[in-house]
Amino acid sequence: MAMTVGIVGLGAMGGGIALTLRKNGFPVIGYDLRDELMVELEAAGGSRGKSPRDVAERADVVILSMPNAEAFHTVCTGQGGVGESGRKDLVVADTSTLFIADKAAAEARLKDLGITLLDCTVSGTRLTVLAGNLVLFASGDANAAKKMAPVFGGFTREHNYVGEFGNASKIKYVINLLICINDAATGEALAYATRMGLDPQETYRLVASSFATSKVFDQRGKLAVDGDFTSSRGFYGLAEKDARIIGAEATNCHAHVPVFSAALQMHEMGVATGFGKLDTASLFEVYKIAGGSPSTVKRG
Amino acid sequence: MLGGRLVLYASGDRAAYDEIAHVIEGFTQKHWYLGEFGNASRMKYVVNMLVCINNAATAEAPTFAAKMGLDTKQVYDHVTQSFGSSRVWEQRARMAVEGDYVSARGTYNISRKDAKIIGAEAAAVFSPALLFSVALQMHYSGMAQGFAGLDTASLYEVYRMAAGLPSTVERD
Repeated sequence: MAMTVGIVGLGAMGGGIALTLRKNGFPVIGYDLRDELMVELEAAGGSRGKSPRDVAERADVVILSMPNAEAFHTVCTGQGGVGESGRKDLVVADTSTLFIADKAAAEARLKDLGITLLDCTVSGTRLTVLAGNLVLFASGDANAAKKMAPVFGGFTREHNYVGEFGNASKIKYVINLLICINDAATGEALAYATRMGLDPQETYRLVASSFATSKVFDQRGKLAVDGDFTSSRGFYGLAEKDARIIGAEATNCHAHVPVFSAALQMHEMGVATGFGKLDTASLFEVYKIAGGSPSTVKRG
Repeated sequence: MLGGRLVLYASGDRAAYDEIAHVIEGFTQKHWYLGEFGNASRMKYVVNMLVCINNAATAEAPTFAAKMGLDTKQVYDHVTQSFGSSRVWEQRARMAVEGDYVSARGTYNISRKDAKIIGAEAAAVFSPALLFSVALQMHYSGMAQGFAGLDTASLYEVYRMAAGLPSTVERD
């Protein structure tokens, strides 16, 4: 029989995970501060938890998907948190992108209560998980990861156990560092081409078939030359949250990240000039503005 | 190139292009006519700008991973499967984590010659090239440190040194 999965945090990613698990036959108990998200889960056959603690008391395993460290700590060890459930041998898989120090602190406190916290990260968006294409990295206690494996299989295309606690976060930082760079590089190259008078669509086609291409260029380069910055529902979340964590972690370990730093400046400029709610393909427009050309794109 | 995988961009007089198209076909895998004279060069600048940025990014990411204590070969496999991957990454990050900077025989030619042209053209049309400029500095650093005769995958060693990690290769 499928394990009952508790999910705390039903936002873009957590909600996507919950719906996918329901689709694949897992009983789901969810919790979120926003009522409409609980209603959405109930419509998909899931049930409503009263608190993170209540979810932990009723579920076999728990998944967390939290927007920030404050919410994460409250859900782990705050009032009404999973720590209060008194559940010995409970496994909690956190899939949030946070500083490793925050995750490690919660892991230690929960361990004292008999609860095992796994550091997990996911690579993809809500659309990725709903399409069944999510990739998950799990790190920490190997037996706990083994226990979670059937559940991970219920909402991912691929799940990888990557060793000691914190490694899943670290791999995600590396991937997002590259995505952040490729986002800006895509805008920089297309703006350069346009500025020299090349046709943007033709440039996109030729670069996408060359050695110079990347997965980001393939996808966002197309959005950029089509002027389509909304259909993907993407936004500058990476710059506003993940990139700050990546930058700080790089500083902590004294890694040298000059290209990432330059790319991040362009993302910040994108947010500053009103593109923050659009797909980062709009860095093409940001580069146009930086180069003194007007952008006709409607901004928030 | 001798493998018959050359890609060629042509621009300028259309009739002249049509006349020699069959010859171009004889030594390329693909070829495109791009309109007015100069466009073939411009397209190559754009492609090489991105290759230059990707070269540096491909070295920056595994160095960050190594500094955090990750197994870089494992990182290579996971990143290659991820949305963060690129063609340059697939080829040069593998060389980097295996410490193989000679088998592809790519060199620092982009930074030695092409990059100066790309940078000057970008300045001429006032197109900001922030990432390219930073990436190019890393290439210059690699040349200064004696890697010029190796594949640009060796930027990984340049980054490792910048991050205080030991280098493992012999230099020219």
